[in-house]
Amino acid sequence: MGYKALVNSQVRSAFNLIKDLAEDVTFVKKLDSSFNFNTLEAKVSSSVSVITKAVVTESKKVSEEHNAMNKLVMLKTQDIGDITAYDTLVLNGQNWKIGTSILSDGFVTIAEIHKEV
Amino acid sequence: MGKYTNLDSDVYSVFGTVGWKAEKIKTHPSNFIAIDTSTEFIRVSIIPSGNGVNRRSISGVLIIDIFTPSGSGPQRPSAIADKLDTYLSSKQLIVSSGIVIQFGNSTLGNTGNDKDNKALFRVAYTIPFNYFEVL
Repeated sequence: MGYKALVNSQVRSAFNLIKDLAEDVTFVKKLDSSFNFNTLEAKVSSSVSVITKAVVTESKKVSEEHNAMNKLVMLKTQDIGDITAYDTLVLNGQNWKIGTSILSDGFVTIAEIHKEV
Repeated sequence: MGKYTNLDSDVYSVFGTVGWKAEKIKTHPSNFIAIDTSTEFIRVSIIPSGNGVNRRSISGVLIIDIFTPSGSGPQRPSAIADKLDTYLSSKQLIVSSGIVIQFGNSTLGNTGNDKDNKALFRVAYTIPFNYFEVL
């Protein structure tokens, strides 16, 4: 087994070992999107859903002008692949938007998610 | 519809025409992130920030960010700006009864490498407009 496969295997084990600290989530990735300049509509023409686990490492409520909740979530990169801003994460039945800060070392991805509460 | 909605639909419709599509320049509006690996595209932002002659009129600027590969020189952004000029500079859009949009003359300014992707160079094409609506 190569090192990459070994690390991915250990990451998978770690997410399983922490049991319910890693929550079941559905990641909805946009595969293609377009904007129609005549109707002014943004359209996601294809997307894919990935069921995986996420660990919420930080929650922050910012309420200076409106009630926004921001979280940092850790995900298995091997499960979700490359993600982009405005993809969607379904956590505890609620839709969260992926923010513009996405950090990955190739094995674990840490992303900001945002929602009005 | 209100003046802002009309302004959006009328200005953005320029980039939905057969002629502009035939230029094969990827075009995105503000507040839209494309799933795209292109190294050349433009982003159109309408800034209706000036006064109008009546409550149904407004002036402002159209800012079009032109993204091209870093290190590839000034020729391509200028060529794209020239194409934009053919559709916008000193043009008058009479889009429907009682509504007219007049564009002025454009300017071009280098803003350097893009802050999010240093592999892209950004040039800002700016053109003022006046939107008139008869009361």
